[in-house]
Formats: sequence, structure tokens, C-alpha cells
Amino acid sequence: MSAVQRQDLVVFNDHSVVSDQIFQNGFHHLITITASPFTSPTWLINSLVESQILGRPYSLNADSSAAQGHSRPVTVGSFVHEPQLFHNALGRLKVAPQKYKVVDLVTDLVVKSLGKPRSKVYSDILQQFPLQNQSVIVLEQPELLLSLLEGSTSDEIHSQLITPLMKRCSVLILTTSVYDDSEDATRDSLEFSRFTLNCIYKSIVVMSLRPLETGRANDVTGTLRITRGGVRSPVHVVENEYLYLNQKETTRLFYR
Amino acid sequence: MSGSNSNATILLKRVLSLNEFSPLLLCIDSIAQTASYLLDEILYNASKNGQVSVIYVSFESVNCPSYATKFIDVESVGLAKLSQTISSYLPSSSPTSSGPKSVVVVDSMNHIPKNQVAQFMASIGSKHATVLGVYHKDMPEIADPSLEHYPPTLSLLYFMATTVLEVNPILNKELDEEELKEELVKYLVPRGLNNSRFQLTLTNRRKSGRSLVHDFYVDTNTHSYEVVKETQEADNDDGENPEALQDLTTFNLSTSAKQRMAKDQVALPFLEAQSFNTGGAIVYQFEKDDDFDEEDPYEDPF
Repeated sequence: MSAVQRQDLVVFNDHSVVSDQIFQNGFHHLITITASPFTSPTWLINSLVESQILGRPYSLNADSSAAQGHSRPVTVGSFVHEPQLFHNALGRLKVAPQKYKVVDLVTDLVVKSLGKPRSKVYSDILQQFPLQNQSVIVLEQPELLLSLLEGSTSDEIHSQLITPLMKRCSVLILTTSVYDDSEDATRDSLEFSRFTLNCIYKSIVVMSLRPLETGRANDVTGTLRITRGGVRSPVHVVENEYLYLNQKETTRLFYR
Repeated sequence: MSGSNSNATILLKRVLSLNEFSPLLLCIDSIAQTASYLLDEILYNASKNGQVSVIYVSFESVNCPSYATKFIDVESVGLAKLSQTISSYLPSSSPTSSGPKSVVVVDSMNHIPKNQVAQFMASIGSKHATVLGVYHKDMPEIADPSLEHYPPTLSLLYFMATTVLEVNPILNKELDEEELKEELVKYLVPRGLNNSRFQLTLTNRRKSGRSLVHDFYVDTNTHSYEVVKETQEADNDDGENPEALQDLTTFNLSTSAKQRMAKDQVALPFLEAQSFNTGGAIVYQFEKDDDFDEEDPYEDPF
């Protein structure tokens, strides 16, 4: 694989990862990243945060001719990872800590929400994200709330958390772990499925991270597929599929 | 055939320009091809024939589409007051010929509880407005134990709608329907879908109760509609292909038209057996080797 030329991550046809044009006109957009338990999206989140702050994902794209975007405020919130993980990873990518904010949604979330109505829990989470036009919010695995909050439903999380969060920024990047057992028709699995599908319907871009279907390989971690979502994007989306390899501290992309 | 094709296109144009009155136009979509292009196409056609007042009811969208006159965010209004709010924007009497047509776009009917769908439709449905309801067919419905025997939302909507428009992607050579299904189950959207060119199945129910189903290829860039021609493969299955049999042997393997006609006229034995013309009688024919004893009462079969 080392002989294969590495590729740059390009999502929109102006050679950008997140196009400047989608920040115009005061619209709010959603980009969904679906991942499987075997292909964690952390590297992609870090690269996207880097691209929003530095204007380009330097760690991923070697090509210096790629479009240089504007620097934008970024807020990251994760239901699975502690803030320190993002500080460490972004520090390694030479992103200054004052340029971004990490919201701690992991520590004692359930303890803090005990006895509170669910709407209060959602609004408490929302309050931690700044209301800022032209900004980017990254939210990792909000579908966990389906398991963490008793009685919560996919529609409720979408209407009370995801949509209001979209209104707080210009671009919301949401990652969700997919569970695809078509035989499972329990209420929980249907709620998870409904959640993911709703995200895809609301998105302008869907990025899917999946392991190789042929099995494990030493030189490929998985595939990254970029496709259009249910909402039309103001900028043309370059649909593509990459192979990627996670190494100790870097990730490399190759064309499929 | 060409006559019926042109009729189908005329019917589609009438439906898309909202000239064919329907209180509920149901648009069924999936993540492979969402209804956003179809909605644009309908509103493009409708606005060509005069002004259209569009009330956009949003369960999903955050951004107000350019064609919307009013944007109602259901989360801020509340489902209980939704129909009341929509009705307040609708004209109370029949619009004059110069007045704008009213269209209510509901971006996802999936979010209305199934026991409230009929009520919702009844409260906003009027002679003066058309509801354009989008339903995502792949989104699973959460079963409510108290409504175990209640029909699913889609069945209810299908029953209420006089026109149903179902959008599907036009598949390229690399992808067949089976593969598409497999990918979508894994929430993987294959490349090249959600396109401005898509397949549209129009089901139009006439007052007589007869429903017409037509398939079209719709190109929203050029606003052109093409009737899908059924492939002839199924008819040709049993027919032979003389070219394939040529130069295989020196024998003549193909049949002439006369031979084929004769072959079709052959009465097959099992068909003969189906016609009980003989009346079920057993005809015993005595043969010379048969041992027939007149004294034996059990020997005589009659």
C-alpha cells in the first residue's frame, strides 16, 4: 500500500472539506458521520476540527494547492470521550486550545440528570454550547441518550436537542454509531434506526466509516464513503469512496 | 400505446401543476432518493400557472425553503396547536380565480402519531388547499402497545390520498436493486443517488374508484418527463432466438412460423385429460387371453 499515492480529503467541489459557501445566507446545515464499532470516527472528527480552525486538514491533506478556508469557532461535545482526549489529539495537530471549546458531556451525565425532567436535561446540554452564527459544533454519539435517559425517544432527541443545536451554529457535525441488525425488531433497535435515518434525511452530506467487508488487513483500516444526504447542499458534494489507514498518530487516505 | 403514454404525461403535468384537485398528495420517499427534488418540481409547475401560497410545516427542516410563504416550526408551535395554526393561514372561502392557490407542505408525516393522522388531515383538509405530505417509507414506526390493532400510518395516508407519488432512484449499471437494499439496511447510501433525475411512480385514483399507475423518469433540471417503457424481456422468454442457433450445427434447430403455429395447436395429453367428455364410464374390452368364467359372480366387472 505504501506505493499507492495518498489522497486528500475533499468533500465539496470547491476542493474544500467544509465549503465556505455553506456558511452563507444564515442557513443551518447538518453533516452526519455514521461509524461502526470497529471504525471509530475520532480521527475524522479531529481532522474536521483542524480544518475548521486552521482552514485545511493539514494532518490529512498533503496537497498544498487545496482550498484554504476561513478559521471558525468550533465547539466539540462528546457523549463517549472525555475532553482530555480531544485536547491531546488536537494539541498534537498543533491546534491552539483557545481556538476551540470542548464540552464535557460524559462526566456524571446520568447522576446529574437524576430526578430532572428530560426537557431540562436537553436544555442543560444545549446551554453548554455557544449560540454563534458562522460557527461549527461537533457532537459525538448523541444516540446514547436513548439508553441513558429513561423514556427518551428518537423524535424527542431530534426535536429537543439536535434541531435546536443546529440553530445554534451554521454547521453541526454529528457522529453516530450504527447498529444494523435487520432481524432485531425490538423497540430500542427501532429507535436507534429511526434516529440514524432521521439524521441522514436532515443532512447535506453523509460520511460513512465502515470496516473492510473482506476482513481485516494490515494496510487498510476501513473505508470512508462520502455521499449526498437527504437535504440538497448549496455546494455540489463530491461523492467519493476512500480507503483509510489509521497509524499511531496519523491517518492516510487512498482512493478506492 | 403512444396515445396512452401521452395521456400519462398530461396527467402527470396536471398533477404536478396542482390542476388535478387533490386534498392530499402523498409523496413517498427513502434515503436513496428523498422527495426534496419532487417538491421543488411540483412548486415549479404550480407557480407557472399562477401564484401559489405555500405553508411549510416543518418537523425536520431548520431552513425555510425559498418557495415557502409561511414557515411553521412544529417544535415551537406544538403538535396540539398545529392544525389550528395551519388553518389560520388558509383561506376560509373558495379562492377567486385570481387569488393564489394554497399548498401546505408537511416535510415528514412520520412524526405525527398514527392515531392522530386522520384527525390532523381532517382538521386542515379543505377544498381550498392541497396538502403535500412527505412520508419516509424506510423509517420504522415505533409500535404503541395500546394501538396494537391500529393500521400503520402509511396505510392510513395511502387510504386518504387521491394521488400518491413515490420517488425512487434511477440505478446505474454498477448497482442493482438487491445491492441497493443491502447497502441501505446498513445505512450506507451508495454513490450517485439523491439525484436531480429520478424515477417517479404516480398512482392516481379517479372518482370512479379506478386507479391509474404510471412510471416516469423525471429530470428536474430540464423539467422533462419520460414514461418508463416496460421491458419486453418477459414476453421473449419462451420465444426462441434464431440468431443464437445459427452456425451451431449442420442441423436445422430453428422452427419456421408454420411449424410454430402447428406446435401451438397440438393438444397436449394432460389438457385432453382435463376435458371429461367420456362421462366417466368404464369400457371393458374383452381380449382373447382373458379368462372369463360365467359361473363366477365376482368375475363380471359389470
